[in-house]
Amino acid sequence: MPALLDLQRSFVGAIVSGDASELAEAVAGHGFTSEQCLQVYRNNSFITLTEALAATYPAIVRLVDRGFFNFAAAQYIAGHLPDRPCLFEYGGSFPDFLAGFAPAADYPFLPDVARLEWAVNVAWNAPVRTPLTFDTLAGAATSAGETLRLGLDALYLSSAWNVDEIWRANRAETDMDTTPISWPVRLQIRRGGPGVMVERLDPATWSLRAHLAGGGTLGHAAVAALAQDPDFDLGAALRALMVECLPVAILPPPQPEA
Amino acid sequence: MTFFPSPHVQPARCGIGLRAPHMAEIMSRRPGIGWLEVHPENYMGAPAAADALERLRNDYPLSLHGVGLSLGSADGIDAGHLSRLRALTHRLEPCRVSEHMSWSAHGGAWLNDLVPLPYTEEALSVICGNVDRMQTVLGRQILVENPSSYLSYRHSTMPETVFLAELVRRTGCGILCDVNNIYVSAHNLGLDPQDYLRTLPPASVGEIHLAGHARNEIDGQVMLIDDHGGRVIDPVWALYRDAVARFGPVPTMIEWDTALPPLDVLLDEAAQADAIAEVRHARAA
Repeated sequence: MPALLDLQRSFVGAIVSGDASELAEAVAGHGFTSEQCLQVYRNNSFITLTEALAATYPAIVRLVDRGFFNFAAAQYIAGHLPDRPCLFEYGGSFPDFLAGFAPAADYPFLPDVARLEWAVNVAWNAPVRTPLTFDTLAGAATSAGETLRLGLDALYLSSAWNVDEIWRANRAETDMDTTPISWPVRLQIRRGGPGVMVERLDPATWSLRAHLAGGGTLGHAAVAALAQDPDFDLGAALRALMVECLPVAILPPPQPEA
Repeated sequence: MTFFPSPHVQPARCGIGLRAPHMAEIMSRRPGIGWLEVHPENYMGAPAAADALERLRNDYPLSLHGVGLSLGSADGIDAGHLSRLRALTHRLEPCRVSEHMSWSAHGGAWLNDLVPLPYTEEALSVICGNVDRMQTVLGRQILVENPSSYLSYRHSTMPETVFLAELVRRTGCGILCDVNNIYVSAHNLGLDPQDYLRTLPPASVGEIHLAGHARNEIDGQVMLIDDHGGRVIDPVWALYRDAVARFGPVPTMIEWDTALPPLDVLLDEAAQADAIAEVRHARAA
């Protein structure tokens, strides 16, 4: 008689592997074999999770067709069960999986299109942003060591491919055609209006914002921006950030460790 | 005339499961249904979704029917998820909160399916502890739903109904009696659905679920699959009549998740359920 913890561990293992032999003694199938019973639960899990991935990655579905997507999803699910119960949070590592998925090697732009779709999903589901006010910013002692934290619904992605055009052409509600080309883009993805906006930024502005979004200090972000464009106007760039209501807090410099 | 009941009381009428494709139509038509039920997991992300639900909640009693807490997990329930459920409950003030007598997670991995427990003292102790915690954190009584099953465990020591009744007795939770699940499990496990209904403690049944199911043939044998993908079939309606006779006027809900039809189909199913309950109550009066 397996203890509940052992039973549940074996059950999860059987769902992942499809091998129900470890549960054969414990499961009564009432006319069905334990393998057939376990297969029902395996189908339920895999179908639900494949649908969840398809909902998050509609452009990938259209780019590779549904049959290939289901094949890739099944491989992914077997190695990556959700680590939390909300399905909109499932599949963040799917782009990295696609990057190493040999059958998709003919689509070198696919992982970055998937990264863009995941960023759109994260932006859409992020908490409401309460923008930092000009008054609060003016009252803070701004210095290079401080961090201007951006809202979690603003994400930054760069790619060697025109992934924004590919994504727009392959969203479920559109019927456009576009050709994937090797064309470096730097993108800002943020929630706005009725949905999520995907915009191209110039290299210096993108570097500044991407560093801030990654938790970098104002100083490091400025250095990164100036490395892209020595004539970059930092003051104007920070004002633009505030006008777009992207910053949510200004944090003091991290204390050096004792 | 459209009837809008109080948003704080779950009326003994039939409601429907609110699914995203029907949201805009319900907001514009405001059909006269008893109440709405949603999976809270679908409203823990995008602020726009919860905002829309909050507006609907002004006109309809709302029930939160969780699918993600995994009350039967031996390694406990997820504190972060419970905390998010508490925040949503505080915001939406639902008339009901319910979950399932099943498990779906182990070791930080979620199957996103509702798997039955072995009906043992150990499993009873585990789920009682988790239900206690959920009720304590939410500060309210919850309802727990009987599962649909495609297997049982040889080491179970008591029937499902005894396990459920004992869960109720030890924790003070109520029962969400899913009549379709009873029908599906009874078929798959060779049980008597009437006997199942008769064994449930009537005073503890706070809600009934109705749904359609699929028939899968495996090696010449039929296994019923609880896919919530069709109309309620006649034998389940018959079982519902028996449930209404036994449990009295109880809030009822039409669940439909796969192959979602036009909203009017759900409203028609809900009207059928209301008609059955009204006939029964008229006879009893």
